[in-house]
Amino acid sequence: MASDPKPRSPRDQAVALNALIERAGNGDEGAAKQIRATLTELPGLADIGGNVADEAEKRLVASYAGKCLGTREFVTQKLKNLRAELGGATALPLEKLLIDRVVATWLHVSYLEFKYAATTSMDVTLAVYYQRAITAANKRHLAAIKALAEVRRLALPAIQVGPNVLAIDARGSHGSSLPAIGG
Amino acid sequence: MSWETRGNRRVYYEAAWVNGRVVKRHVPALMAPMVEQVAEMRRREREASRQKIQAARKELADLEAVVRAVVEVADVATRAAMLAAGYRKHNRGEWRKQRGK
Repeated sequence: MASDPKPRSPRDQAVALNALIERAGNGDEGAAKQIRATLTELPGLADIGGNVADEAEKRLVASYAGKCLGTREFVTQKLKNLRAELGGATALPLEKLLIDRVVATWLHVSYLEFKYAATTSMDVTLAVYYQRAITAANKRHLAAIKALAEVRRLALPAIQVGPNVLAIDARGSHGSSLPAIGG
Repeated sequence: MSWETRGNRRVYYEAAWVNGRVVKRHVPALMAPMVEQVAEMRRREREASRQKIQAARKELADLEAVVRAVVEVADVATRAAMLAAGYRKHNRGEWRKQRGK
């Protein structure tokens, strides 16, 4: 824990961590050590990620369902099922974050496709814009699935979220017991 | 499309793109009010369509920003965990464990 806790916003912390990641990615050993130290000092990144994902989900569900409460319930239930299929209940914090990402990107793709299909007449400019948005959303979704699969394949040490603390902990063979992605 | 004054007369002209240039065409006085009305109607339709497109694009961009935030946070956490566990991106592609880590 840091002796002098500075109040920093989650975004500042993410930016600082990102800068360290860039340096470590270029082979800076000092930066890699700093990342390990930073992870023990940062407030739970998984918690922050969870909040961001919750907000995103609410926004997307609201856009998808509009005022129709029935649709809202169906979509919410579908997301629950999707999370369960991806092993959300037993997942470790980092995996949960990645599952949230898969769910959010899936919902985004579905929303765009639904909206595009449901519009009876559309301006050509807008249709092209939708097509591009759907393609980009699909790419993001596939990347999200890939990241989750990679973390499980490598059986990565988990980010453990304690009370306001994020630390790295060794993981056992948890990854292999989880259900397959997209199952 | 506009009314212009020629001497002491007001004359209606409609403009059109021809071979990459704007060409003005004189509209006979009898037809001018009707042509003006049609032009105004088309202008309003274009404006409504533009506003509709802008609103849709804004909505899509807002939602995309929300999803991007989730993607970025998850990405930062994954990269941090990977690096801290001794993995490095190989040629900006797959993650590989560094020797002795």
